[in-house]
Amino acid sequence: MIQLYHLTKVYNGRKVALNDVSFKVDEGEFVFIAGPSGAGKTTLIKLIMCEERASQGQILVDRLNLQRIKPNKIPYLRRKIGVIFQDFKLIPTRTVFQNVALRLEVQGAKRSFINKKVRVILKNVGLEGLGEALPPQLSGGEQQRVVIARAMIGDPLILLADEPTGNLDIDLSRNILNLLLDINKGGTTVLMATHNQEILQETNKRVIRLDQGRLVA
Amino acid sequence: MSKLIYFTRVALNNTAKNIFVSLVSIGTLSLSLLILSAFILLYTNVQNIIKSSTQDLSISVYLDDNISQADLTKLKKSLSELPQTAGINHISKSQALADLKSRFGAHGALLDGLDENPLPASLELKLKPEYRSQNLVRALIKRLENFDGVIDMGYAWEWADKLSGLLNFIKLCGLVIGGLLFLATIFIVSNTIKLTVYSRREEIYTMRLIGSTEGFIKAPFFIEGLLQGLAGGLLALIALFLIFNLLVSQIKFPLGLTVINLTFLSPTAALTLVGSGIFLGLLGSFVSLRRFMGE
Ligand SMILES: Nc1ncnc2c1ncn2[C@@H]1O[C@H](COP(=O)(O)OP(=O)(O)OP(=O)(O)O)[C@@H](O)[C@H]1O
Ligand SMILES: [Mg+2]
Repeated sequence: MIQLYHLTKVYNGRKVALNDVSFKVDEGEFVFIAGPSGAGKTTLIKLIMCEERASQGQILVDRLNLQRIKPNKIPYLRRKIGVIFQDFKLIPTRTVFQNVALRLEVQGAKRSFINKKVRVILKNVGLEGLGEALPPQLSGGEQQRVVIARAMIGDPLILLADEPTGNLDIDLSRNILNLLLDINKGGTTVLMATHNQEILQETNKRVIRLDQGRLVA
Repeated sequence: MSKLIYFTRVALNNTAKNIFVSLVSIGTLSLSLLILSAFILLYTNVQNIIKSSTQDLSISVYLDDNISQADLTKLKKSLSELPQTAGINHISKSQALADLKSRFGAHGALLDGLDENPLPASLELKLKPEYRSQNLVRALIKRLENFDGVIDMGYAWEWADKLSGLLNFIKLCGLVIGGLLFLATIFIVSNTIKLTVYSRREEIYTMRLIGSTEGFIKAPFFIEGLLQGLAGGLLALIALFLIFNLLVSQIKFPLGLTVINLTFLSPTAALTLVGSGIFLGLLGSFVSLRRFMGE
């Protein structure tokens, strides 16, 4: 599903964020990307969703070579990938419902279909009754779940979760981990970046470790 | 269809959020369209006046009150032998007075007080269309002046000649001012759109990341420009119509000139005006998106 070959990312011609990284993630797998702050986890996720371009190496997502993808094809790649952004990227002036619905709206889905899907997904992540709230009115954990809902909607092939348990207490973190494991059981390939050691110990899923842009065994 | 509604809703939302700037943009747009269309209105009306006055291809040859019958016959004969002549119409002094009275309309009774008819009799010389050219007419008039019993010559083209000069001037002014206003308008509309793009830049970035195409992101901005153009065009049309009617009802034509018919823009021209507004609005969006949203 995701293949990286000698992937290197250099920012501004100076800052090496990823250095010769190679690995594969199979369809339906759940993989952790672990590593300290600045290790290159977010950079890796940005490369997979084509937010940034690799400096060297090859990257294949769903058999698509991202080094050669045409700009007008990128939106269609991103529709297959749900992303839980580390910095949320919620639109503060739109309601929770509208934020989640936006992902289907940009795909040109029908209104009635969108309304139904959003209602179901908000219920799944435990945000029932908060649909009309604006993101700034929510707690961190609630906002985190809005982002998860938006990433899940539309049944993506791949879910990229960037620190989805960021600043949450351990109970809430477990809660969210279970949510992602459930999504993975449904067949979605999940990549979860985290520096939270406790979370890594919760499961026996594969862990890919990064340090200063390099893969560590 | 539902997409169009969606884009329009986003566009209206954007307009509402930047309502003051949007109004300034619509105002500038309609003001420049108003000025430009005023030139076009002036131009077409002057053109109409020239056309209607030159349609009647005739020269009035005014006769001495004391012209002898022999001279008159001779004059008629030589006029009818001219190659330019299509026909001759003799207008007597009393006929001339009656014509004038009817042109005065309601004021006609004023003329009843005259002791004596001051108007000369005339021969109205109808010209063949191929002699319409003003130079040929001038040459003809030079010749006619030498005939016995002719006191003066009159032709409607005298002032049509002068108006033609004016017409060119109006055209030049319209083109120069219009061109400048168009540029200014595009600049202002594109800056308004830029403001919306700027205030929504994070949202736009997020939309891209969750799979939005560029078209989906840009469509509302084009609709915003289109709506501003439409509003500006309609406003300009309404303002022009009101000003035109006000002027027409206020202007007092000198006696005898009431025959001039001032006309408003034709439906086609009115549609073109509104269309230009839409075009300008779209162009403004286009310029703005090219400059501020290239990926
Ligand atoms: N846009 C950028 N321009 C320049 N340098 C960058 C940019 N983004 C990231 N970096 C640098 O690249 C390195 C890796 O950053 P990255 O965000 O991928 O780390 P991370 O593993 O996600 O860290 P964290 O756990 O703190 O989120 C860091 O040293 C960071 O400063
Ligand atoms: Mg990060």
